[in-house]
Amino acid sequence: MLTMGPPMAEDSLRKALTYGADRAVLLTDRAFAGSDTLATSFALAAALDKVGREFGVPPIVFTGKQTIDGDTAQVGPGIAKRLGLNQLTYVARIADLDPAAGTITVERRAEGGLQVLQTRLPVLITMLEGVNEIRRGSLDDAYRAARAQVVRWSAADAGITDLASCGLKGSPTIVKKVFAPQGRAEPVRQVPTIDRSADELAADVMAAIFQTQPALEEDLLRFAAGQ
Amino acid sequence: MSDAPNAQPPKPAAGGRAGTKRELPERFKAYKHVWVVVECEHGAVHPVSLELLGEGRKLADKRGVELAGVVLSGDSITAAQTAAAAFEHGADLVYTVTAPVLAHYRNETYTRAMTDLVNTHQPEILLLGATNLGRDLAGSVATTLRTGLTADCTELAIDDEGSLAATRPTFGGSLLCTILTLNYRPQMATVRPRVMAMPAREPGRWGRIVEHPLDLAEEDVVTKVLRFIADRESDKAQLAYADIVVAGGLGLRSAENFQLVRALAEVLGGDYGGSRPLVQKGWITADRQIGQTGKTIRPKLYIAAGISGAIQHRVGVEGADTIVAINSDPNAPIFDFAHLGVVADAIELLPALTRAFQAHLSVNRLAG
Repeated sequence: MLTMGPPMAEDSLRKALTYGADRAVLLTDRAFAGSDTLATSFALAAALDKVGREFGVPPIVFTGKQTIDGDTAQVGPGIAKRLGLNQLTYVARIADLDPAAGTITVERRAEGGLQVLQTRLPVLITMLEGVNEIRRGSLDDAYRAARAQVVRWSAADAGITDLASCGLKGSPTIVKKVFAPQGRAEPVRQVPTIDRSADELAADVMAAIFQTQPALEEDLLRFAAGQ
Repeated sequence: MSDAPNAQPPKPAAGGRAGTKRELPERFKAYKHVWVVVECEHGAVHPVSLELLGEGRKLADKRGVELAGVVLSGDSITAAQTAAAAFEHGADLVYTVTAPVLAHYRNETYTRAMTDLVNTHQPEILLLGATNLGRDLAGSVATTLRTGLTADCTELAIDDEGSLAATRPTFGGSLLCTILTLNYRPQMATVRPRVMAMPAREPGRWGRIVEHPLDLAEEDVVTKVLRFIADRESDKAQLAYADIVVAGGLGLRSAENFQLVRALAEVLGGDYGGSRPLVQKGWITADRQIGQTGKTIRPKLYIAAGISGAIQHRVGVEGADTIVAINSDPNAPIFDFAHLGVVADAIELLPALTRAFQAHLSVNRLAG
């Protein structure tokens, strides 16, 4: 397992070890602060390259479909492109893996259906969430995770010399401003609720909706008539 | 961020912050025009591409440049039909790359065709739909070109200095941020379906077609498409295009209470969904999620029951004509952007609303 983040990301890696992973590497360095997706994929690709040299080249690299904060879904494809791995995104199911032939067949979620794709290893797969059962680690895994050393790599440890490609410096995108969303120019019209029963209130809300959008009432009546 | 001590002082520019505005490298100065990738898998043009053409038209006009559609396809009939749709929705010209290897989307072939086209014709702005195809392609193209890419934008504009200002929610936060790609080209962005309004179709509108070759044979492509399993019609959630949507949030308090949402949606002939926490709790499936990371909707009527209205949810529903918010907390952020507010317990009000609409519609139908 490999992740890039601040030192506290070690907690997540340690938790993941309890699910049965053998080894965890945390890529952490101030040089990575402010990375956008391009700079993130640079650092992770460099670290994966080093993983390959240290522990053997992985035939399959899994990433999530996207992070839960940024949701960009760009880092996986970025890593694949940088390492020259074949790329399979939005994978719903691995249908077949043939290590001897060096091929893998997957079902990929596409617009309007599933694509059944076959490609050659090594491959990077971005996996959809919720398609696999979470494997509960054994008690042994839990003990091992508690004792395990999460390997920490700085940029230098990962063999990264091109610091201009890292962090803010390596990020072509710039956050120009951060701002709170504005409320509507016209404030919300509150339907008075004091001394109203649920049914009275519902009648008031319905009337207010139809008053706001008279055409909607006609649409609904037409829908009701067609039922 | 600071420039090197001996660097040229940045030119003072209106609206720009010192240190963030740098000179565009010479090799990018020829990059011009706004491009939109027009998806046409399985013979149908994806609506998000047309929505983006509407947005791209505004950006191109503001920049005083042309709007081009990009059509990658496997055959010339699909290419011609897709180009026609692009012209009718605002494109001045369409670049077509037509080759058998492009018949089905594959990262390898599409990235190759797209980067080649960009390097040849040099657009300043490149927009893609945030579909599975668009995201897969955008990430690879941006990495290959080493340029900036802003995902899931909710607003696109041209700033005072002519750069693409792409606004999206902050990562994991409750704020919005505007992102620029100052010193690289093209400036790339993806936008989710339904975030932008569909432009009016102008029948008969036409433009120039520029064909671009692709020197790539099937035997040189590693990844093969073995089969395509089309979704059954019933599997396709119509949520994004529904006229009336009722949704629930954590204010429903239990999975069982979600049926109150479905019941109201049924009486109104609408569709139903929920906020992200409901998916995480397993109360609803992911394809029912409404918000930034789920479906963006633009219904005539949106009823949000027990949803607090975090920014992630807000950007997914702001296109609705009328937003009705039901929440027991009078300070819930949803009241900042709803049109009609009801400070009430959704669990009591939802069934009452279902009864009210049911009665009203049946009485008036009989009367009519």
